[in-house]
Amino acid sequence: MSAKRISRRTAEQMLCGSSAGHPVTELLNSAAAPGRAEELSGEMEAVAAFQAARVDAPVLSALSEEHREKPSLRSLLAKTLTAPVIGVVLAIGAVGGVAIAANGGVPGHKEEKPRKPPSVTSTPTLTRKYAAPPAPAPAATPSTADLCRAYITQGGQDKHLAPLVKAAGGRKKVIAFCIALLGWDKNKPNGQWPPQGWPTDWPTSWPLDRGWPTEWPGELPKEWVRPPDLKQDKQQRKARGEGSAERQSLWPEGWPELELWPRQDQKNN
Amino acid sequence: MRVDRKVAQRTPPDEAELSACVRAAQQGDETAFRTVYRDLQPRLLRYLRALVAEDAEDVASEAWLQIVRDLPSFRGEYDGFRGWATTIARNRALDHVRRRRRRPQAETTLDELTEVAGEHDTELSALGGLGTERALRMILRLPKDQAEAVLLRVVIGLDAKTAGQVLGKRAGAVRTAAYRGLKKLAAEIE
Repeated sequence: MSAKRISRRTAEQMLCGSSAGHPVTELLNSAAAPGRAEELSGEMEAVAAFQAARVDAPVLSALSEEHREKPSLRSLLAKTLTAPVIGVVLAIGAVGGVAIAANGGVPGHKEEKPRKPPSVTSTPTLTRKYAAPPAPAPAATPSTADLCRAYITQGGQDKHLAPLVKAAGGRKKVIAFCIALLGWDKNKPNGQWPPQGWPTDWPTSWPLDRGWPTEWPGELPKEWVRPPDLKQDKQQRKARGEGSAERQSLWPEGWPELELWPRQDQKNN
Repeated sequence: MRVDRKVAQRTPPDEAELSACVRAAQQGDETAFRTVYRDLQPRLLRYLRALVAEDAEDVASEAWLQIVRDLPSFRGEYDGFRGWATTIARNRALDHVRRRRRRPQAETTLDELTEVAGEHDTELSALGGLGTERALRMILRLPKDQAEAVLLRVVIGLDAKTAGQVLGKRAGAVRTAAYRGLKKLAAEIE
C-alpha cells in the first residue's frame, strides 16, 4: 500500500488503529505506545494538588453557619492546610526524606508561626495562576506544629487532616513524620529514641497562642506507642505484588529500626 | 474487526474501569486519580510537545492543577474526560504561547513553535525510546493543524467529533487535516 493509495477510509481506519500492516499504522502505534516513567515525573505534584483540592472542596459547602461565624479548627485547617501540605509532599519527593532528617525539618520551612503558607509557586512546576488561594488572615494559619498537635489530640479523626496523613505516608507514620518535620536530632544513637524519653508535654517550640488544645493527651494514640510495622507491611505488599519504594522514600533517613522503638508495655515498665 | 497486538496497546486497557476511576477520583480516591493520571499524562505530554515544545511538562503541570480543581464539575465517561482534560491542556498551552509572545525575545508563532518542537526538542532525544520518539518527531514535523489532528486522534485517543470540539473545528475539518497528515507521513516513510 503506497502513500498515494491511502484513501480517506483507510486513513480513518489507521487513526482508529484498525488498519494493521501499513508502515504509517506502525508509526502511529509507536507514537501512541504506553507511557514511560520519564513521562510520569510530575505525578507527585499532581497528587499533591489533588489532595489539596479535595480538602478545599467539601469545606466550602459543608461548613455550617455557626462554623462560618466562629472559625473552628476544622475551618482553619481546611482554609490553610493546602499549601503547607503541598510543600511538605514536594519536599519529601525532592529529597527523599534525607534533608528532613539531616536538618530537622523541611529546608527553608519555618515551623513556628508562619505568616503565610508556603506558596505553591515556589515549586518548579506549579504556577501562581492556579495556586490555592492564600489564607484570608495570617493569624489563622496553622503551622505544621498545629497540624501535628491537632492530629495527636484528635487521633487523626478529622477528615481535614487527611492531607497530613497522606503526606506522612499513612496514619501510622504521622507522628514520626511530625517529629521529623519539627526537629529531631538524628545524631542520637539508635535505640535512644525518643532522645529525652517519652514526652509529657508539648515541645516548648510549638506555638501555644493559637487557641489550640493545650492539654497533653491523657492517652497517647496507638501510632505514637506502636510505630508502623514495616515488616508486616512489606510482606503484605509483596504478597500483593506491589512495590514499596514510594512508601519507603517517605521514611526519614536515619530513623531507628522499628525493633528499637519502645512499645506501650516497655514504656509502662 | 481484527485488532492486532500493537493496536491494542493504543487503546486504554479498560475504558469502563477508567470511567469508574474518574468517578472515584471525584469522590477523593487518590489511587483512582493516580490511575487516571498515569493513563492520561503521557498522552497530554506528547500532544503538548506539538504546541509548546520543551515547555510541555510545565504546561501539563498547569493543566493538572486546573483538572484537579475542576474535577468535581466534570460529568461523563472517560472518553469525554480525555477530551475535557485535553481542552484544558490546550488552553493552558495557548496561554503559554501568548505569554511567550509578549516577551521580546520570544515573539514566535504557534507554527514556529511547532517547527521548533520537531527539530530541536531535546527531550525527545533524551528520552531515547527510539520507536516512539522517532514517530513523534515525524508527526511534529507536520503542519501544525495536521500534527494536532493526528495527535488528538491517535495519541490522546479522541474521535473526530471530540477532537473537533477541542480544536474548535468541525469533525470534518479534523478528519481532513488528519488525512493530509497521514498522507505526508506515508510519503516521508517511502
